[in-house]
Amino acid sequence: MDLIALGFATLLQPAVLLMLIIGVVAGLVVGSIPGINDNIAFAVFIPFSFAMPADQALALMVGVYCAAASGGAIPAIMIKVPGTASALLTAVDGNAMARQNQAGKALSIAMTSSVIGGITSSLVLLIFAPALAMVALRFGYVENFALTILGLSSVVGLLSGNVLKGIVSALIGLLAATIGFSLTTGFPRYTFGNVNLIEGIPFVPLLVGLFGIAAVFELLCDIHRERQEGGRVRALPPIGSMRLGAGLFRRLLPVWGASSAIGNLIGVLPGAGMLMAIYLAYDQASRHFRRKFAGKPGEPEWGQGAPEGIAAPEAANNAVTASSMVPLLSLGIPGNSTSALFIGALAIHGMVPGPLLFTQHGNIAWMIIVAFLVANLIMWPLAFVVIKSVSRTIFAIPKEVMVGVIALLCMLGAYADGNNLFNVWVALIAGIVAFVMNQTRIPLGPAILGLVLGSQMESSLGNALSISQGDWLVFVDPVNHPISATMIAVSALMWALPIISHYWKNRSGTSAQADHTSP
Amino acid sequence: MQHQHKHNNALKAAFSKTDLWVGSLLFLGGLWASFEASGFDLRSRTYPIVLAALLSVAGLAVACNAILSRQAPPTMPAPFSVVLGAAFTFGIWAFALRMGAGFALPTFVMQVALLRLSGVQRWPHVLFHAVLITAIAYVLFAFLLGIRFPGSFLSHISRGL
Repeated sequence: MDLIALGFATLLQPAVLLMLIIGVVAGLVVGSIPGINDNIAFAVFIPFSFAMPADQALALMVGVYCAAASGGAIPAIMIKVPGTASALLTAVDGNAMARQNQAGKALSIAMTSSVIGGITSSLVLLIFAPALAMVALRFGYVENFALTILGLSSVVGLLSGNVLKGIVSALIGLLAATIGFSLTTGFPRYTFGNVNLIEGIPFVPLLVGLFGIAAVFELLCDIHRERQEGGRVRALPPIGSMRLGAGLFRRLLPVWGASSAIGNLIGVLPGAGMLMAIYLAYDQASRHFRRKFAGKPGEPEWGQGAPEGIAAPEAANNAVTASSMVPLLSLGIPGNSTSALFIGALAIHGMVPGPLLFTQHGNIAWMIIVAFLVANLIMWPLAFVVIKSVSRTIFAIPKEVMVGVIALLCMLGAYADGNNLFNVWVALIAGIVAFVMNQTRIPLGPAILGLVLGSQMESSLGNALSISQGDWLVFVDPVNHPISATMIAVSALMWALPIISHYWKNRSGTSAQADHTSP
Repeated sequence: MQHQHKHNNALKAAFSKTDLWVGSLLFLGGLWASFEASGFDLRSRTYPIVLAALLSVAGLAVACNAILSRQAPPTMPAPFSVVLGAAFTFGIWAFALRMGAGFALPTFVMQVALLRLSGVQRWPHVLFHAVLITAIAYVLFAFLLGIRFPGSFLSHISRGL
C-alpha cells in the first residue's frame, strides 16, 4: 500500500500530472490522425522526452500510449478510416451507426468502452506486475535463460501465418543483439572499428527507425496508392448527442466484461498484440449479439451499427495497453511492439525494465503503474473535449504534410539520443529493414524480442553452462530448477501446438475431401 | 522450343518471388556473419556462429519454400521509387548536417522533397508547408528542448541554424 502511495505521490506532482494530461490529449489527437498508429505516436514523442526529468517523460509516454489506442476510434467512426490498427473493427459498426446520425452515441460507446477496458487493464498491471517481479528477483542464470526462451517461444508460437518467417525474424533480432562488446570477454563483435557500435546498436534510434521511419515509407506508399485509386473525400456525419442511456449501459456490461478479460489475457502474453485481442473480443460479442438481440424489432444487423460491435474491440484494445506492461515491467519482456518502445523511453533515462526496476527506481516503477490508472480515468472527459473541439480539424490535415512532420520528428528523435548523427543512420537503416520485412511479410515482433532478450539470453546461457560444467540438462531439471523446467515445457508446448493444430486441420481437411469424393 | 519457353517462364516466375530473393539474402547474410564471427575470440564466437548458421539455414528454407510453393508470390506493390527517394532524402539530410550545412537549409530541402514525393503539386503549398515545418521544428528543438545541432555556416546568426 505504501508503494502505491509512493507511485501516487510521484504522479501527483503538478508537473508530472500535467505531462500525463498533455500525453493523453496528444495521444487522442495523434491517434485520431488516420495512418498514425500507436507506435508512430509513441516514436514521434520520444524526442520530447529527452529534455524532461524521468518522471515527467514517462508520464507523458503513458498518456500517449493509453490515449492513442482510443483516439484511433474517432476517425474509424467518423470517416470509416481507422486511426490505428486497433480500431479496425470499430470502423464497421461505428461508422454504420454514425451514418444513421448517431455518431455521438457511437463515439460515446467507444470512449466508455476504452476507459472501462483501460481501467481493468490498469488493475491487472497493479496486481500482477509487482508480484511477478518479486518472483523474477529470485531467478538465477538457469531461470533467466528459460525465461528468454519462453519470451521468444510465445511470439513464435502465436504467429498464425508463417512460423518460419517468425523464426527468421527472431534470429535477425538475436544476431543484431550480438553487435558490440561481448559480455563475457569484452571482444568487439561486428563493430568494424566503429566506436558508436561498442555498446551495441543504439536502442532508441533503432526503435525509432523500425517503427517511425518504416511508417513514413508505408504512409508514402498509402498516399501513392490512394492517388492511383482516386481517393474520395467523405462528408463528416453530424456528431449529435453523446449521452449513453442507462439501458444501453446495462446491455453493454457483459460485453465490456468479456472483452476486457480477453484483452487482459492477450495483453500479458508477450507478442500476442492488440489485433488478436480485438478479433477475439469482436467474435465473442457477435455471438452474444446474435443470441440476445439479432432479429428483434429496432435492432440493426451485426455490422450495421450494433453497439456491441463498437464496445467489444474498444474495450479489448485498451485492455491490452496496461496489461502488456506486466511482462515488460516485471520480466523485461515486451508484451507488444508499443510496449517495446517503452524500453527505449526508459533507456533514455538510464533505466532497464525488469524486476530490478522496482528495487532501483521504485518510485518510477510505481508511478508508471498508477499513471495507467489515472490516464484512463482522465481520458474519459478529455476524449469528449477532443471529439467536440479538434477532431474535425484533425481530419483536415493532409497526409502529405504528416509525412514530413513524422519523418522530421523521427530523425530528430534518433539524433537527440546523444546528439549523434550516427544515430540518424541507424534509424534510417532500421527503417529500410523494417519496411522490407513488412513487404515480405516477415513479422517485426520476434525481431524486437530477439533484440531485447538477446544479450540476456547469451549471458545467462553462458553463465548457466559454466556453473553446471556444460550440463545442458540443467535447464530441464525438475528437482533443482523447477521454474526453468516448467518454462521450457511451456515453451515446447507453444512450439508444438501450432504444428499439431496444422496437422489436425490438414487431416480433417483430407478426410472431409475423402468423404466428399467417396461414392 | 515450347519446352524451352515453358522452362523460361518457370524461371521467370521463380525469380519474381520476393521470398526467393529475401531467403537468398538471408542465407548469404548468415554465411557472412558466421565467417565474420569465426574471427572472434574462442569464448565470444560460439553464440553468434550458431545464430548466424541458423539464420542461414532458415533463409535457405524460405528460398526453397518460395521455389517449391504453388501459392502466388507475395507481390511488392509498393512504389519503390518513392520509398527510395525518401530514404535518399533522409540520407542527404544527415550528410548535409554533418557537413556543416546547418539545420534549416537541409530540413527545408528535405520537407520540399517529401512533399513533392507525396504528390503535392502546387509550389506555393510546398514552399509554405516546408518553411512552416522547418521553422516550428527549429524553435521547438533548438530553443525549447535545447537540442544541440552540429555547427553550421549560419551559426553566427543562431546556434546550429
